[in-house]
Amino acid sequence: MKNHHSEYDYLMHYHPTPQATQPTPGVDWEEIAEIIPFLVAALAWLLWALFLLIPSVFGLHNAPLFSTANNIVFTLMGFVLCIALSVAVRSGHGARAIVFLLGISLLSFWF
Amino acid sequence: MTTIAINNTFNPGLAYAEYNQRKAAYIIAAIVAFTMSSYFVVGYLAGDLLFWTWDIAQGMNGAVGVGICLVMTAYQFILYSQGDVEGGKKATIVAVCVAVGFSLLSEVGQGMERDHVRMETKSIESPTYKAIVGKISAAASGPVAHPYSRQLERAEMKMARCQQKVSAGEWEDCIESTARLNGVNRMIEQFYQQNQQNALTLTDKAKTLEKDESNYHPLVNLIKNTISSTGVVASFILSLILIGFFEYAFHYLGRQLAAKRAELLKHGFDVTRKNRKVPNQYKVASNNNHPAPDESNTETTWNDELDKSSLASPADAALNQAADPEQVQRIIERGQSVPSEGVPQEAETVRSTLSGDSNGTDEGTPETEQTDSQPITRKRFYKRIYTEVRQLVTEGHVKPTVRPVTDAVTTVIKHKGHILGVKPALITKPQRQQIAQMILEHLEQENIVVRNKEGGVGKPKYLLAEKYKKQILGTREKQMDLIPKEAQLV
Repeated sequence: MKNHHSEYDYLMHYHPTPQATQPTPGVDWEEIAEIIPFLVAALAWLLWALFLLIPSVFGLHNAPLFSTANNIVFTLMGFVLCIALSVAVRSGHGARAIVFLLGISLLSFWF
Repeated sequence: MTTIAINNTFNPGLAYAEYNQRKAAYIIAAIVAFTMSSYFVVGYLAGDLLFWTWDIAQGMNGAVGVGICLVMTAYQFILYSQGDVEGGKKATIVAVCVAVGFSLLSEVGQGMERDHVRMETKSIESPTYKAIVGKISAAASGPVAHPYSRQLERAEMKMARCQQKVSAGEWEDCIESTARLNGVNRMIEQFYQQNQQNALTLTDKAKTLEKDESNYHPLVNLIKNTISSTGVVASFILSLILIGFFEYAFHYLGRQLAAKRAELLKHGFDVTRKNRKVPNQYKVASNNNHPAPDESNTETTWNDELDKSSLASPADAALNQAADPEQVQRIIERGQSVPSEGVPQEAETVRSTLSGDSNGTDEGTPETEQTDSQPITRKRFYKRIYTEVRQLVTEGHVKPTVRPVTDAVTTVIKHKGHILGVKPALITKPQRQQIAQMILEHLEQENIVVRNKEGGVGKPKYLLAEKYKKQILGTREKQMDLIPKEAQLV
């Protein structure tokens, strides 16, 4: 009985200590921080496609007001900015990536 | 931890793949830059971009425009991909300013054109403008009837009656009727004048509304109101900002390409897989009175020349072959000379001079003739000195330390300077010491000398390798055997 009681007590009062290898509950900010640059790149490509490429190809928004050559030139300009942003993201140049994102945003709004 | 270790390891395959990606991105950026410049410059010079409708004059102007843009874009392409240029920062800044200046001026035009087209289109489509244009059209469509027709009719009737009375002698004159008629005519004239004035006012108003600056893009209006300028200036600033982003991206891609290329080169990988043909070396004849470019540059160190020594010509290879100690030894023993370069003869001369042997060859005209046929570069000059000093060291005539080697270098230059095409006085003592130091380092690389493990103050840095020590001892024993024993005892 003594043994039984002690085993019972042990089982009732057992609180497993958290192991270092086990994932801690909550938000893993480091993982989120790692994907931010790629989200920025994705956002830039999305802006370019939505506000420059698609309007130029399908003649949407203000694109019909301007000549085809002018639309093509500015779409290509946005394309180069997106490439530069992707290179900056891969190289870990965060400040430059933000500068290029700003450029693409401005160009998309102005286009 | 393993992942970090893998990331820190340089992978040439990945690096080269990334280099190619950046190269492709940079080429795309250059093509876009060329297109953007051409769009404005060609359009400006040729009148329009529809090249299939151009006449000869337009074609010529268009070709000039394309040429200018091509040259300037190529200039940018080469300049940006150079990376950091040390020692020429001011020149680099000026060059970048020139390139960027041209691009901005040629590319800003299309941004301004876009703003202008947008503003004009919106202005023309505004209801106010349409109403005014309608009024002008109505006014111009036909003659407008004046509102004084009844007054004119009455005045003319009274005038006619008056004239009848005067002719009948009842009245003396028609002063009142004439005044009334003149008054009505003046009113009609004023009406037409007013009408004309209104038409002109409407036209001016239409002209103003046709280019209503409030119809610029909101960003342009923001800049315009912020700096209290005209719409054109604000449009220019906005276009400048936009093109500035593009130019920075172009420049950034060029720098990234240069950085990746530098990284590959740093790890010993070339960025091209094609075999490069090595160009011929610059040669200066020994009888040439003009100094060689390298020699006139006192800033150039001997180490620079040594770094270039990997680009050896066939003649240098022959020299190296002739400078092989064993071959030289055999040639000396047989009393022969090396036909290609004659180096052992010169070495023999210096050896004789340093060892006090009077049997050495005179400072020779035949050697001068030989050297005249083989122009001497600075690298070859160094190699000749090196060859002779090495022979002296391997034969035990000169100790492998800085001072004796410097003395040997001085002697070689003194005796062979005119053959080598340099004035001995122009090579200073520090330069000779530098040459001596390099010779010792080379001798160490060839395992002719070894580092003295018992280093310290007053002890030599280098010692002759055991192999050569044994050779010297063997040669001396042979010489001793040839001398009669009686003479040895004496």
